Amino acid sequence: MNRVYKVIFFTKLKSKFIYKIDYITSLLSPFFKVYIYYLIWSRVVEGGNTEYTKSGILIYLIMGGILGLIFTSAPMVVIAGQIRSGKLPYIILRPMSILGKLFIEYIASSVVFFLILIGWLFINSNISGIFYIIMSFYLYYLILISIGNLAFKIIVIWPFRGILNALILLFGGTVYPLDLLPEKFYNILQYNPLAVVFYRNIKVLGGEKPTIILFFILSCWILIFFFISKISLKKGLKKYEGLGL
Amino acid sequence: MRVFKAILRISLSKFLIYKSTSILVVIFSLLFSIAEYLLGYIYFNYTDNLGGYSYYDFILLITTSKIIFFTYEILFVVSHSNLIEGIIEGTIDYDILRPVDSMNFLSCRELEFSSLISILLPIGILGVILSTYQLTVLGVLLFFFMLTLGVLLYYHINQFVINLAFWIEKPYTIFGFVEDMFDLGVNPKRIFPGMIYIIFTYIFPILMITNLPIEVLKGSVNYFDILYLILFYLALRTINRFLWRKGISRYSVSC
Repeated sequence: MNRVYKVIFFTKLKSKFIYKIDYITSLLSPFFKVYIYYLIWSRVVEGGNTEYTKSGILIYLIMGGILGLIFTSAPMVVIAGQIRSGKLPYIILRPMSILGKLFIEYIASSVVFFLILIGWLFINSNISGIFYIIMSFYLYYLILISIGNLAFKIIVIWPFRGILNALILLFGGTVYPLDLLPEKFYNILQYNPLAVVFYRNIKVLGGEKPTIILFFILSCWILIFFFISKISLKKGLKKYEGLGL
Repeated sequence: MRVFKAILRISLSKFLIYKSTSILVVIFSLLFSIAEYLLGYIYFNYTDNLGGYSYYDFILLITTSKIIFFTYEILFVVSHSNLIEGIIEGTIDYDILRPVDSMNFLSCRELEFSSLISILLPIGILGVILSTYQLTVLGVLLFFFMLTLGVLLYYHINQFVINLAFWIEKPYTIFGFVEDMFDLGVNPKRIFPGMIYIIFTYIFPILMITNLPIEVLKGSVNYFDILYLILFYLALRTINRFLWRKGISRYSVSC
């Protein structure tokens, strides 16, 4: 790893643990929500009308909660903030890539839970699952950058965070298994990019091995969002005056 | 009335100036509402009873909590987030000198028009879903009374946290935590076990606020619960007035 990126990585990692109480509080709220969803789902599944059992749905929701801690919207907020505040030119002048810096910071902020999940997959001999979670992490990062780049065009970017969270709730399958939707809807939604990132990862963490088709779809989405993020950044920078608001 | 008209005019102008932001806010509010209704639909595809609630009861529960939430957003949310900033930064000194009730004025000085659009979805659903219940005049009146009481309690719980800003340096975490706890309101209270049920029904009564209107329409309401909620409101209102007065007396500005 380039020395600059190494410094960025360890600085970000250190900063994550400086505010210990803040860090612990940030973990409590998502798990309380997981518990609430479990209370409802446990009532729903106890009738035996679904393939999910109480413990099955609990594992599903916990995995969804952990993924929520790793797949945060930080890069989107950071790049949008830098564009709007006019700080982006300072980063452009430094001897590193803007997107590279953001990616390293993103990895550093998620590395603890990320390693736990990778360890979990390793113990369960799900090596293809490890590749899947790493690739989908990169896909989600590209999605976030593509949305964050909208700050070149739109003054206020914060509602996008809300929209993204709502879309994850609807189409990502973090609080309900997508396969509980009526078949027609499930067939339409199962390979949308948010489902590929969240729902499929939850399934992988639950023991499923990702198929070749799934890897193919994931790679297609990576390619699509790779170009969207690159082109939107390039186009945005061309017209960017860097004065800030 | 003149003050309110001025607030209305300024808020509308702001809404129209920041059109793109307003539209985005409406979109994300609508998406969240749709997500909650969709979840309700999925739950009841696999069960016909959740905590004593049927599918229609559950949809009505989501609808009433949305109406309470959006009404609070329309009337108070912008002012509340400005007020917490203002107390911490020390920028409300001019406003507390105005010849109006300072707590009421500062917590309702800007309206949020985006939520006025977002509230249309739950209101529409309420219109449809009410027709599935056997309604009495008293029941409907009591239902709307409970909704109003819910909004007032929602306001006073938030105001209580904001008043703490006079004493605590950064109450944002508590404010955020309270916001998160309000999300519990879309759930039937009977699904919660012992201690959590007691805390969120009687101490932080979000479950009572959202569940009582449904129980009123179902005819299963305990009138002592309504009385408890009214007394809780009156007590909290008095506490907030007291805290505001005390807070203002210790409020200081650095320059």
